[in-house]
Parts: sequence; structure tokens; C-alpha cells
Amino acid sequence: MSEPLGLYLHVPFCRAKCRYCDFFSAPGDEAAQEAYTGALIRRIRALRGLAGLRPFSSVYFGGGTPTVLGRARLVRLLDAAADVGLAPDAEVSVEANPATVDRAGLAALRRAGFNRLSVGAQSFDPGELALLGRLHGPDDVRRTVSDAFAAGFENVSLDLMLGLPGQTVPRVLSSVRAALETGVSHLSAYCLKLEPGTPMARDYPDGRGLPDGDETADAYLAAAAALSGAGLEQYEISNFARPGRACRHNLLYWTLGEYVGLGPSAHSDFGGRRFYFPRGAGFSAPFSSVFDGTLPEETDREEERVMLSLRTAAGLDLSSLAPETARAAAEVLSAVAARGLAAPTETGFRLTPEGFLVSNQIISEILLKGMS
Amino acid sequence: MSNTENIRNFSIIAHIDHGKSTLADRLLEACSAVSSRDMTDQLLDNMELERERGITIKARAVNLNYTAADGKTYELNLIDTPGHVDFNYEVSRSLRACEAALLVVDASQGVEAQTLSNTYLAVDNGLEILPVINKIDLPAADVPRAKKEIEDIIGILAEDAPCISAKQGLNIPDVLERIVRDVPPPKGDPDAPLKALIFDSQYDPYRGVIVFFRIFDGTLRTGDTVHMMATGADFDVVEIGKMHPLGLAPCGELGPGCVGYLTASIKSLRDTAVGDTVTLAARPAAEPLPGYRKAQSMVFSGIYPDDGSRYPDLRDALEKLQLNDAALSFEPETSAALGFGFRCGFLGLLHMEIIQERLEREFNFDIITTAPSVIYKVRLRSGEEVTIDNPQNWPDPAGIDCAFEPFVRASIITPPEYVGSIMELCQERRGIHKGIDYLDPDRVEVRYELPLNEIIYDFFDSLKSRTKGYASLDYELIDYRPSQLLKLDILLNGEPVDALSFIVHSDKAYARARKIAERLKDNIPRQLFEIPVQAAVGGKIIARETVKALRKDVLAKCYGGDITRKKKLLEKQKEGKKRMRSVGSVNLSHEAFMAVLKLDE
Repeated sequence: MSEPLGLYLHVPFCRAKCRYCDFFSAPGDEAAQEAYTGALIRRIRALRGLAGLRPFSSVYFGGGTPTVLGRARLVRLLDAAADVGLAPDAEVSVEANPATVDRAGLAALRRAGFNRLSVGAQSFDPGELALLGRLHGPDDVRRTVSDAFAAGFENVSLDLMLGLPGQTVPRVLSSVRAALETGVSHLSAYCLKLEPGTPMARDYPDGRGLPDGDETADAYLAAAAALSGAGLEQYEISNFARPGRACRHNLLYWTLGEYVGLGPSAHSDFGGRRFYFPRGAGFSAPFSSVFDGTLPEETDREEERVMLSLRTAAGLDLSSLAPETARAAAEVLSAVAARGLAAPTETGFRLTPEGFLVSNQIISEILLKGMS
Repeated sequence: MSNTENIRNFSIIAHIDHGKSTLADRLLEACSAVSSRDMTDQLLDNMELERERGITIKARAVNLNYTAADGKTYELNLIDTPGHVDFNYEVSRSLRACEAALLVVDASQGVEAQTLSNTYLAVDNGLEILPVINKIDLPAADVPRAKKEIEDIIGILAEDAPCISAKQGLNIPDVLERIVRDVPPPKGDPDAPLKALIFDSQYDPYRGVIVFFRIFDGTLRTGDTVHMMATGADFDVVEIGKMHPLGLAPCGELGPGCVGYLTASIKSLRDTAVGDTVTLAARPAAEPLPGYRKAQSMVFSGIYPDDGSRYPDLRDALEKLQLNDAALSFEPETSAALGFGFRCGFLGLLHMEIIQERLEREFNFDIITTAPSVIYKVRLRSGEEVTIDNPQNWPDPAGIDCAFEPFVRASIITPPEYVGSIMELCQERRGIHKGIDYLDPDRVEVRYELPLNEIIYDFFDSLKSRTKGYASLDYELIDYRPSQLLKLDILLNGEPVDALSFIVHSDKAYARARKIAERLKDNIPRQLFEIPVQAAVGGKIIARETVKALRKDVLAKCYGGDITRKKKLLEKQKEGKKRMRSVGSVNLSHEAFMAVLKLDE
């Protein structure tokens, strides 16, 4: 069997910009969407014959809001990817915002080969949803998930946000419970991070008015415990899944697997290089070779291995590191393990939920020690 | 040889920001053959060049030719003075080189503390005082009031003082005519043994030290061998000349009353101390000019490179600064907390700040400075007396018979409404009230004797903030007095941090200890474990705070395989950690060290 290879397709359209979001997206009319879909298909086709290319083990439609494109365009895009090569058991994910797609639409996507749906719920609290600038309410989430099940999706995920203004532990737990009640088998829980230039960053200058680190830590640990208790195992800092439902595509990012990203702001790690399409115009222009217009990204595998594998429950395999880094990692990790922030594994160490929360500290400590 | 009848030597004194430099520029323009724009450009170029070559400030004296209304051409020597209380001695030497001083008073501000102290200094040095009212173009200008204050407070006639706007170039010729009329021409015997006063010197990498002087008696010629009467050094003069606005102008000889420069391949500023008397080795003067004293460091602090590997660079930088600043002293010191650094001595707080700022700006250093300390004197039970400029060297309390600390005489001039809060501040700082004088309805002089150790922290900032910036401060060292002094130690995670120790009066130990523990708690970044912060005197803990363990970092997504955000966060974190000092197991930031220095809320 060949090494897995992921395909990420960026859909830079949204109906409205959420107040916390600084990902690349813009409202687009029919013509812009059609033009963009065409451009994306041309790039997908151009992947054919690329050295090292093999059938995709996963395809991920992210955004933006991919479902804004409408099912016909999404299907055309997936067909284009399948023409290039799709493994028979490929995981095909699409992100959807609640109430942006109906049961018939979902059924059409399922029939076309989509088999995983990630629903951007963010919260089940109407106040929190309004504050984030979301266009949906809690019931829209429930309906979209039940529509997805009815349409034949078995692999459905919800996103939740932690660290929202006024969010207490009980309120987080009630969102988590509501999420579990929908019957999803996967859940992502992200801590709000104010991105410069977003409306929320202006609303809460320097984070004033947001829960502090301790309160957010409490919320995170409570959510993690509730999810594990319900059988959704934590397999990454922010991701929880029933056995067998971990997102194979996202796992590629954390295990230094290969992936190709197409679209403005999409990143690739392919053929030993990291590179990305910059934001903004240019992607749709004619090209002579599929990665025309990309910019190179600095690559340091050793650092990436430490940084990315410590995000996962599998943890860091010390034997995969250079001796100096391995020594530094063992030193730092065994010290923090004594405080309950890490735990030994067969091959090295993993971080505990408490450790995930301070992973920057731990990782930067290792990198400073190992590379000085 | 120039006739002393046509020479006018003067300086300009003023409170800070009253327009001294602007007036100087205008006088230069008015006397210069070149156009004002050319000259300004030229001067700026010169300064830039000087800066590139490691020279700091523009020449402190300039020689101007002015053709007066009487048709005669006069040689005007403007001798600039440094503008701050720390440099009082330098100011007094510059003043000694003149016959008169222009007293510039801001028409909108009136007389202020430094106006007074500088005027007294000028009067003490026997100078004529020529008042000049500046900034008459300001809407808030009140010329009659400014004149009245000069007459009432300083006691000199100001009725016919020139009223000018240096900024707008208004009435500048009035000032020049006044200089010609009222500045007494210098006296002196060209045939007497040489007596010249050094009022400034500068290091130039190509010519060695350039010495700026004023001749009182005798004549100096190129090729003479000169003798420095205080330092005892002899040099063969390579070049002498005058300081023209556009550069040094060599000449063959200089006589009494002349202000000029000499170069003599002098390698170190230490041989050319400000205030020293230059004479001829072959025919020395019997007595030097009066009043010489060595520059004395009053304030000491440890300076450490933020990045320990730059220690040798820091030494180079301090050496370079010292070339131009003989008052800066430094010697290596080590701290368990901060590693290798230097114990530096300064004339005062401003001097310290200037040096710190120059290290950061001109030499691109991130530095950590320890709490400033004054020089304490300690009499031990053994009878021995020691001087302590570093808290780390404080003797064991059991061996101390008596400790002494320096006191200053402070004069604060303020609008009357702030007297209460100033007295409160001085009282808090262990001041001894010496009197209040009502200078005029809007101005009060508050006099205190204060321990220098209370002034060097943040006294000036507190004074400014309590008086909305209106109060001005002047002080001078008077004596050493017995005092109940203690060494306060700071412990982090149970380990003493030497660089955070300082000396405190026993009455203030508890309050200070609590405040510092609090400050440190707020400024020590939370780490992966809890950190006790303790303040102790002689092993007894008198204050305690706790820095709680860090529980959450910013967590970045790796959305769509974009790991750059995460990388950026880690980079930032790594940079932050590199900038921290590891003390035992505790990481201390620059801010934590600096927090100890700021005590007033």
C-alpha cells in the first residue's frame, strides 16, 4: 500500500464573515463561484502526472464555507479529484455551516462520494452564537446533523468554541452535552484566539472581557473530561472521536504526512517541500505548471516533528529524533510528567490534557534545549 | 594678536526647554557668513559624521565674528553648558570660562528651579547676568510677569531685557548688541605664565582628545609643551585654533581672553579633566586656577547584556562611551542571576539614563540594569570603614557599628497648589523640611534635605506626576549621616537573587518589601510551576507572594495544514524565553528586574 496523500481544496466564499475569523474568504456571486470552481478544477486536473502523485487517501473541502458553492459545483470538484485518482476507501470531508445545506443536498453529496461532514456549530448557546456573528441558531445545528444522518452520512463532526465571553464551565458543558445528544461521532473544540484585525479583536482589546487563561483552562479540561467520559477519545489537542472516527485527513498534518492544498491560502507539504498559495487574487490566473504562484515555506522536520506529534495522543516517538533533540525532549518531558503534564508511552511521551494547554511552553523549552 | 577689548565670552543659561539651543542657533546664523539654510545643513552633517565616528555632542563652544552697530567687529565666544543638575560641576566650569551669562526665561513659564540654580551658579562665578525674555510669540506669553519675576526672585534688573522669539528669529540683533555693550571684555596678561581653564574635551579617533579651553593669562602657541596642573600630564601641542561654526579653524597662537582648542595626540580623556588648568611646561604658573575637583560618581548600578554572549561587546560599548564621558566609570561584576556585567558609576540619575539609552540606541543593546544604589559608608565594629556601592557587598549586620548614607539639599519650585502633595512626597521619602519661600504669588520654593537613596528611584517621576509636570527639582550633595540601613534580599523559589537585593532604611523595609514582592508577582511570567516570591532581611522573611502556575497558552490551530501560525507562536515563545534570565529554575524577564525600580503607584 502506498503512503497516504491528502488533497485540500479551499473554498474562499462565505455568506458573511464571522466576527472572529481571519481565514481567507469573501462573499462571491454566482459568476465568481463558477469562475473559481473552473480554476480549481483546472488545477486539480493539472496534478495528473505529477511526480510522486498517487490516489488520494483523503480529500478535504475547507473554507470559507464550501457548501456555499452548491452541491453541483462540489460534485464537479470531487469528480475532478476522482479523475486524477481517489483511493477506494478515501475519506472525503466537507465543511458545512448549519442551515447552508438541506437534506436533499446532503443526500446528493453523499451519493457523489462525500462521506464525512464537519458542521461548524461553535456553540449551542444562542447568545454565544450571536456574539460570534454566526448566522444560525442551536436548532439549525441539530437539524443539519439529523439531515446528514438521514442522507446517509455516518461520519459527522461538530466544531465547538471555548473561551468565549461570559462562558462558564456549566455553559460549556451544556453545549458539549447538546453536541453529544446529536449523536455525532467526532467533535473539535477550539479555544478562541483573537486574530488581529477581526471585529472581535476590536471588541475585546488585549483580550479584556474574555475569560482568562485559568477560566478557559477549566472549561477545556471540563469539556475534555465530558467527551472522554462519553466515549469520544481525545486524539489531538482539539479533537475527539469515537474509535475509528478520527479525521484521517487532519491526522496527516500532525504526522508529517503528505498533502496537496489548492486555492488561495492553501498549504501543501509534498515532495519534501512545504509551500502555499498566497491569499488574494492570482490563483485563478492561467498557469503553466500546477504549483505556479506558490511560495516556499521554511521547513525544519525535526522541529515540526516535536511540535506536531506532541499535539496528538500518540505523542512523540523519541527514536524518530536526532540524539540531541531526543535528549532534550526526554529531559523536559520527564520533568513535566512529574507535574502531570505529560505521560510516558511505549516510544516516548505524550502530553496530558493539562499538558496540551501549556504545550507551547513545553515544546519551546524542548526546542531551545535541543537546538542550542 | 587679537585685542581683548573686542572679545566677548558668554554662555547661555536657562531652565530646560526655555529655548537655550534655539537662541544659540539664531546667534550662529546672525553671525555667520553662510546662509542659514546652508549652515543648518552643514551643522547637521557635521553632527551625523561625528556620530558615525563615535563622537557624541557638537562642540560646546563656538567662535563668532559680529559687526556691531558701532561698526567694529567683535569676537563672540559662546560657551554652551550642559543642561542638567547632574552636570552642575561641568556647568560651573563652563561658566568660569565666561564674563557673562545670558539668562533666557520663557515668557510663558517665568522663573523655574534651574533658572534659579543656574543663575546662582553664574553669580557665584562672578558673571554678569543679561536677562533675555524668550518665546514672546506664544499666546500664553506674559512679558511683564516674566520681567517682574526676574527682578523679584533673582534680584536683577530686567526692565530693558531684550524680548525675543528665538524660534521665529524675532529681535535677535537686540541680543547681540546687548552682548557687545554689557559683557565685560576679558582681562589678562599676555606675557604672564600660561593659565588656561579646560571646560570641555572630546575624543576624536583621528586626532586624539580635543581640549577646549579659555586662556586667562599668557599665550599659547603651536609646538608648546603644555602641562596639566591637576593630572600632571605633559603634551606637545600639535594644533591650536578656534571653533568656527563650520568646523575647527587652526591658528598659530592664542592670547588672554581667547577661547580655543588644542590637540596634542592625547589618548585618554582622563588626562584632560574638565576644570584642570593648562600651563606651559617650560614656564609653569605658580598656582592653578581655583575650583578643580574630580568628577564624582554619585549613583551606581549594574548593567548586564540581555544576551549574555554580548558581554565583550558591552565592554567595547562602555569603553567607547567613556572616551567622551570621563564621568562614566565601570568595572566588571558578576551576578549569580545575571551573569557577567559591569558596575557602572554615574554623576546622577539623568546621567545613568543617558548612558542606558545610548547603549540601547547607539549600540543596539538590550540591557538589564539593577536597582541604582548610592555610595554608603559603613563603620564596622572592627573600626574599619568601608564604602559600599553595591548591595551585594553589604557587610554582615552583626559586624556593623554604624552605617551612613548621603544626603542632598533639594530645592523644588512649584505653583502653590502643589505644596501639600510635594511635602507629602518628601515626607514619605524621609525628607527633612528646611523651609518654604513664597517667591511670588504663583511660585513657591520648597526646601528639603533628603537621603539621596530616596531620590534615585523614582522621585522625579513622582514629583512630575503629582504636580502635573509643573514642579522643577534641583539638588546637591551635602553630607553623610548615620542611618538605620538594612539589606533587603529577594528570594524566588527559595533562592536569593543577588541582583534584586537593595539597601533600605529600616522604617521602610516592610512597606518596600511588600511592594516589591507584589511587583515581582505581577511581572514574573507564570511558569509551569508555582513560584514563591519572598523578601527577607537577614534571613527573616518579611513579605511573601506567590506566582501561580501557568495553566494555558495560546493554542493555534493547524487549519488546512497551515502550521505557520503555530510556528510563529513557538518562535515568539522561544524568543521570549531567550530574553529571560534563568535564576535557579525561575525565568525572569527584563520587566521583572525593572519592576523593582518603580515604587510609586
